[in-house]
Amino acid sequence: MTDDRYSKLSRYVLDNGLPVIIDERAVSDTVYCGIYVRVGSRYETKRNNGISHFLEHLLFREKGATPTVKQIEATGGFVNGMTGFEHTNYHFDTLASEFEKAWDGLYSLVCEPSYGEHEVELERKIILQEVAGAKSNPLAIAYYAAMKEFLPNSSLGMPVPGTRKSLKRIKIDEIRKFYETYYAPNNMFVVIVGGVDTESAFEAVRRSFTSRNAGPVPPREFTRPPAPKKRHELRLKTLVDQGYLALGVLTDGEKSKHKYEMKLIDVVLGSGRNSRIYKELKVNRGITDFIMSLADMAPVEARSLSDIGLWGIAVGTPTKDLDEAEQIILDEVNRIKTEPVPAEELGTAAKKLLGRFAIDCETNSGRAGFYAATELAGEFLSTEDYRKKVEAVTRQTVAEAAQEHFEDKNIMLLDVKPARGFQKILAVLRFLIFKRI
Amino acid sequence: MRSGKRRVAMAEEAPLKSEPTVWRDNLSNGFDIVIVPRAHTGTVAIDLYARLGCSMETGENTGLTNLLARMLLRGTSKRTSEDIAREIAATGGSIGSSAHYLSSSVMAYAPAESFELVLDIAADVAFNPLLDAADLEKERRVVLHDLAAREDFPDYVFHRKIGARLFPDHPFGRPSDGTTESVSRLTIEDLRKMHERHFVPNNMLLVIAGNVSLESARDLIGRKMGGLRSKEAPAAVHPPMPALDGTLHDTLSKRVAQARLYLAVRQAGIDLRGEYVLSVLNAILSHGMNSRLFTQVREDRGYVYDVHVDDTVYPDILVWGVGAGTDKKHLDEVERLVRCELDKLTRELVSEHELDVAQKYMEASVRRSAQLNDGTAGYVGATIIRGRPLLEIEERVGLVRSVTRDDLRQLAGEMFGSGDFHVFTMK
Repeated sequence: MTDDRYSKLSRYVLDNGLPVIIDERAVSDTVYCGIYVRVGSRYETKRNNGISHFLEHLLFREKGATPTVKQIEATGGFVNGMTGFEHTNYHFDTLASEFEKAWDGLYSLVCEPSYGEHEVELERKIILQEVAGAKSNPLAIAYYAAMKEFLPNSSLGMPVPGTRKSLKRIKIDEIRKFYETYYAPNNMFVVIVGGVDTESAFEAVRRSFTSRNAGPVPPREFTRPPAPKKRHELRLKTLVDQGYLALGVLTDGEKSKHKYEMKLIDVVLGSGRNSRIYKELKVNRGITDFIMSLADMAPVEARSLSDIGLWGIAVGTPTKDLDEAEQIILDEVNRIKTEPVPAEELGTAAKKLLGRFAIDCETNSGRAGFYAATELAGEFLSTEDYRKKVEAVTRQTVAEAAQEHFEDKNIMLLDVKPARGFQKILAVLRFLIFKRI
Repeated sequence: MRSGKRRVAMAEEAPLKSEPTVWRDNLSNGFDIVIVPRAHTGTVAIDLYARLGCSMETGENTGLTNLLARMLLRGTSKRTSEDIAREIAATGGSIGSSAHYLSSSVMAYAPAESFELVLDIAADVAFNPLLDAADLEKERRVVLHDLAAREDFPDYVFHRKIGARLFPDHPFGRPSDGTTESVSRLTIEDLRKMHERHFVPNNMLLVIAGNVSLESARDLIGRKMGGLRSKEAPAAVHPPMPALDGTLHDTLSKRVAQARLYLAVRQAGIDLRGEYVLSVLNAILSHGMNSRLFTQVREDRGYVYDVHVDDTVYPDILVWGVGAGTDKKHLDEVERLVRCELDKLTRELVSEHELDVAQKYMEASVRRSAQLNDGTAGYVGATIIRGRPLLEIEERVGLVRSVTRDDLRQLAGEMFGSGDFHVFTMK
């Protein structure tokens, strides 16, 4: 379904271990380019929580001015960074004719840091504002409260930008050491998508990285939270006006043998107007259309990491309808576990998933996001490979995936209701003292 | 260095990048049709607009156009709501409906091979909705919950209050979803009457952008829509801007961990060229990490994580503002810095380099927005509905490139020269 007629996809690996993925799209007069580093908040402890994100901010800084950012922006591009659980990304999107100038800027930004104490203190202030701003969204707050409860002592329960406490503790030397440890070419990769010539773009990347040697990157050792013994529920009463409900299960993430089955279960159950839960909650009962995949309220990267993932659905309803909504969701989860999905419904779900994918792939950034996700998963795919994987899913494998994941003991349920009376007084005090809803 | 190439797929020769070329015509019944063939894509966007927007609402029936737009997807005379969802999903596409200030629309996106079916569904939804009383009660319940749920989102509440204060008793200042009172009042007859009067071919616009052949698309549209009967439709309403008694300084008390500032300018519209001058001015102020506000308020002082400029432009309304989130103890200082930067633009010419960077930024934005068929269709629809001339990409880039340093100083003078900003805070 994706249109690859004007796409020329290549993947190279430099001697120092840096993979370079280039999709030359002659129909495009802009170009997206990202440098990805395999490090994020899962590499942190409670003490240095937020250091990956702090570093990302600092790389945009140089003592005095910001010539690298200026260099990219002078090409007409925008430049930005993003930190997740397992990777950090630096990217630009600019006019294709300006690729080399922008690339030189991005390389310099990521690989030639020169921030000092002053920049660290300024960025600390800015990140504290970022953390405060995020606390105005009750869903994000509820998400982290739930993760802390459901995944105690796991870095997955820690916020990516850090906490006020951890951020105030992080020192420049720790940040520099963190950089030295993880920012090695064999722990990074580059994705370029757009109206560039493959050979010239590759040559620009090769030239920049020639002098950088592979580093002794520590092996990734993530601890998976212990398997649950029974259904885990968290019921919060806090400063919200409406009720919210989220149901989630942990998956094996990118390692899962049922990765594509879970994507289709997402479509069948809760994604889009044709999904079972949407039809029941909105069309038939008229309760709400505030229905979204859990990944919409959680950081997107939480959906599928290298060895663990989170599948789920979240709804907002009037408080009085919350129990009914919970029952509807549990009934639908139970149904998909016990009744095979009809062939026609599964076929429609696959078309829906691939249709959305085709639209995403019409933009350079959408394509780059796809290539990066597959590279991070250690399974580099073309768009055609992806289509084949989705189409290979059968009713039988969906049934197996549902039975495996939706066992009652795997279910995590979060329900958030407005606090009343004394609970409300406590919630207000919590807000005034800890700035926490 | 080793360069191990794992996979190379050969691409077809690409079409010229300077497309799209826009084709526009009216059917004999007055239906306004625009087709933008984009052969290098694999999808098609279909946007169907009625010139019926919130601007036609009163305080009594606010939310009517939004409720009508939502009800369109509740079933037609030949398809149930479930049929619509299932048929669209089976193509791999999507469909939605919404109401805006000057229009209501049905928007569909699908793989190009499903063009005929999806056009049929979009037209069916727009022209033959059931508008059933029992469905209305379900949809009303959903809307009322949506309205209540938004109270949990402080930024939404803040901006709703700003709109109401800047445009008192004016449709632009009312929430487009309505209020609990107005939505509770609306009847199925209100919806049917509104639909009957406004969803007529001579009051509508169809935009198609994607991998379709111009000839076959024209034939298909002629066959499907040519037989629809035109009817007199009420003229678009453009209520005059309400007067304000001086500048506003309002504070909203809300439990937020971070205070918000919004500094606004309101004026009676802007012409086409002015719109492009404003886009470059906005880029200089807040697009990118070297933009003036970003540098002054964030990078040099660390007062904010986010500082941005936004605007809403209609031919007779322009609302422009700077928004920032900061610690409440820095609110006054952030406001001072923002005012200082705006004032500087009225007094000093920007440098040639700064202008060039901002123009390149806007050029890349224009080209990037054209990557998607719905971006292309969205530009066409919004342009026609707002009564602006349709331009090719190169013409839009040309307009960006025509902006001069003097243009910027002049516009800044008109907008910021008096220093009379409406200031809103939430803390």
